[in-house]
Amino acid sequence: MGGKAVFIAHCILNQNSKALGFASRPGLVEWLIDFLKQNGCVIEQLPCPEMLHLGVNRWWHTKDLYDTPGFRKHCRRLARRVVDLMEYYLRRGLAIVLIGVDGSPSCGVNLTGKNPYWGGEPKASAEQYQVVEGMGVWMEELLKEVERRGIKRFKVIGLAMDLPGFDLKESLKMLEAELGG
Amino acid sequence: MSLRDSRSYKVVFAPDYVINPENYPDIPKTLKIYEEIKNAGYGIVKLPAIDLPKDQISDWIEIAADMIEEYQKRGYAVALITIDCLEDGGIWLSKLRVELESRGLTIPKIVEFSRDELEKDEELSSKIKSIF
Repeated sequence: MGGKAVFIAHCILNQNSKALGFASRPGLVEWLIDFLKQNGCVIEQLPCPEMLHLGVNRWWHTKDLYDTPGFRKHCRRLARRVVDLMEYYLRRGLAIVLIGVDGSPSCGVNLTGKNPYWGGEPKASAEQYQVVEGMGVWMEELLKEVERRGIKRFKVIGLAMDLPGFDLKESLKMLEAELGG
Repeated sequence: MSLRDSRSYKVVFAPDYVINPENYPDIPKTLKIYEEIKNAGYGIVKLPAIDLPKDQISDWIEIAADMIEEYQKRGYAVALITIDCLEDGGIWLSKLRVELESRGLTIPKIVEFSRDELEKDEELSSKIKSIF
């Protein structure tokens, strides 16, 4: 499993970047970092476009609300720096893997969150956040930059660690299978 | 959907070495600093590897400074971890300091580890626990 540079969503190492109400741990997601290190992976932390754009006290957002030219431009600027870093590791012969957080409006890989009615007066409940198939805005822009530079597509994994029913044992099994090759 | 929030409001900005010590051949390959940060419940903002091409460094410093500014404004505790045997502490400390000063920000507490300390588990542990 060694020889891999695994790029992880920012909040996996820093739960203090989460939108308020969603930090499941004091500091970091220890089971995932421990797993990656025990398996010889180099870890790189993505910047958090949500926190850098709207700050740490931001309202909850859906993908609909982040899907704006301004936020996408902000993501593209960050993506250029991250893909520079990916190329740095590729030059050293490491394979790249990307891990996002399923359900997130920006970092979701397989699942993201929508609600076309959110906006205006800030009234919302978590139940109104509709988890739907699709990728978050940040992951979309990051992978566009990867494609634009002609980098061969690598493994992109989404972990639904913030969603109900998350199964740690199954996730570890899936990670072993995905990162083993 | 879970809505409890367990954040610690404590964040350390750390060198790449803390998470990826295997990339630094001349320094002890220990994850002890990471382990202690994990146990203390701090969030980590890891800076990229110190040998990154020079033209890419300024953007990462700007990103780190933006985060420090935001955390300080909102009352989070912030500290910088440096390693004395890495160039510029492993976090481009001199450049980061210039950036923070140009914004009129307080320089966060700097916690420096010497090469010797990296091999002394108890000292290292107590130093991490007493950061905040």
